[in-house]
Amino acid sequence: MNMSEPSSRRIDVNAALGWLAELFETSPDDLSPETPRDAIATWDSLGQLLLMSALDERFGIRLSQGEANGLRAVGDILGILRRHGCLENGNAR
Amino acid sequence: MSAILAPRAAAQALSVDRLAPHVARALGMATSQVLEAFRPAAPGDLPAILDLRRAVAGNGLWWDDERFLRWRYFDGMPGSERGPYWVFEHDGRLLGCVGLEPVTLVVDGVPHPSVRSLDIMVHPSVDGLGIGALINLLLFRRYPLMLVTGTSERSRSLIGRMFSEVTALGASKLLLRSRSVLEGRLEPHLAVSIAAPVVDALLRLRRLAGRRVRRYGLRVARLAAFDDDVDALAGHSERAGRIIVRRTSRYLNWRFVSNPRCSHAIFGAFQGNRLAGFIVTRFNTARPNPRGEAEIVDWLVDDEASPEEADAVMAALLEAGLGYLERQGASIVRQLTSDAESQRRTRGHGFVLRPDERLPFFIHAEEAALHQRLARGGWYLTGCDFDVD
Repeated sequence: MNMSEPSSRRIDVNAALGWLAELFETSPDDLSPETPRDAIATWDSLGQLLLMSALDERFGIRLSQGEANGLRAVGDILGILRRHGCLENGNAR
Repeated sequence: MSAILAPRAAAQALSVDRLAPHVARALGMATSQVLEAFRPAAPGDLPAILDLRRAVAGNGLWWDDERFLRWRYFDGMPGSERGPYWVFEHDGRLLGCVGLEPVTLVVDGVPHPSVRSLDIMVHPSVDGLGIGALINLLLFRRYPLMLVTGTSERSRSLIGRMFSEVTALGASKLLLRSRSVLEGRLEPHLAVSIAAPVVDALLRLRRLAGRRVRRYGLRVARLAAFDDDVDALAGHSERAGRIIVRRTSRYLNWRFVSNPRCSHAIFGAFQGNRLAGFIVTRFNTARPNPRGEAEIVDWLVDDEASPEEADAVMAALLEAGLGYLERQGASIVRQLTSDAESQRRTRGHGFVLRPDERLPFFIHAEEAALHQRLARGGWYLTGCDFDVD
């Protein structure tokens, strides 16, 4: 884990939710850390691929298959961002 | 409409280069390996394909799947190139497969080679790793124009994001026999036995209203197969403002006469010796069909006829087709179409549009101008454009 990520790769929770909403083509209002994967229609196999690709492209995070399989809710994605030093401390709106 | 003026997959920046590395990592492969894993199927793959399809569809395969696959993909349409079937293989094991049907899409009279994407399947053990999405992206590279009719509930979201929904087939239904409907609503059994003949007589009377159309010297005959006459008829249907999959005698005979999953009945309307229209009906009793559902699968009426004459041709064909289905014991007849004119004509025979039964129709066209034209509409689609029988 690299704790000295460039500031452009660090976002707060609300920005992360907005980014995920765009990725999953849904409204930010529909997402919270508690939102489960199966409540997001577009978080299917294609959505998972797009998520893995976007994490790599925007944050330089390459998920292992184990990490990818463990994503069950939006909060798990935020946890990945936090562990990789890409999420600023703070709570969702 | 503006939302579909750009190819859907392009708008989402979906590409093999972007997504293949992540599928490869999930499968423990190099990206180059994952690209090589997708290849045309050979006849020797058939046993493994059958196993994969059984693993995915289970008891849903009510037909002889080997015979079906040989007919649709491996033996191919007589006189044409083999129907393509593709597999995704890793470590000697098939993880995914997809069948394609080559068709010619005629847009404003201009033919465009295209393929229907059918039967895409991914082994349950690797479900969710993106193999299905990658298969579609790899197909986009090879086939610049692809068509998809309908989706399962599960694949609706994925197909909707990779392809562009440009139109839909609406379902209309006609009740020929009321017993199966009344049994769910009337008790006791005696009430059904009394009511059903009365309701059936009223339904028959309503259908006979379609007979009050001038006949234009029409003669309707059951056909064992299509001949060259249908090629001329179909040629007239390929006109400006219309988008239609080309019908030829060879294609229609392969699709309907040689189909091993079920039989079809074909009726032709003639004026003298000239074929003025045809209709194809299906009543599949080989599959589970407790409600006795039948279909008007395909039809074409000569576009060079006057509107009144075309109405008379369709009325005569429907009368013959529905009479046949009734004699065969069908209770309900369904018709799928994207075409308002066809809906109007069948409405006159008592068909009722079912707004809740709608099959989305998707395309993927690499060429932007073609994509925009396809998104503007003018589609002529029937049950012939849907693979489920």
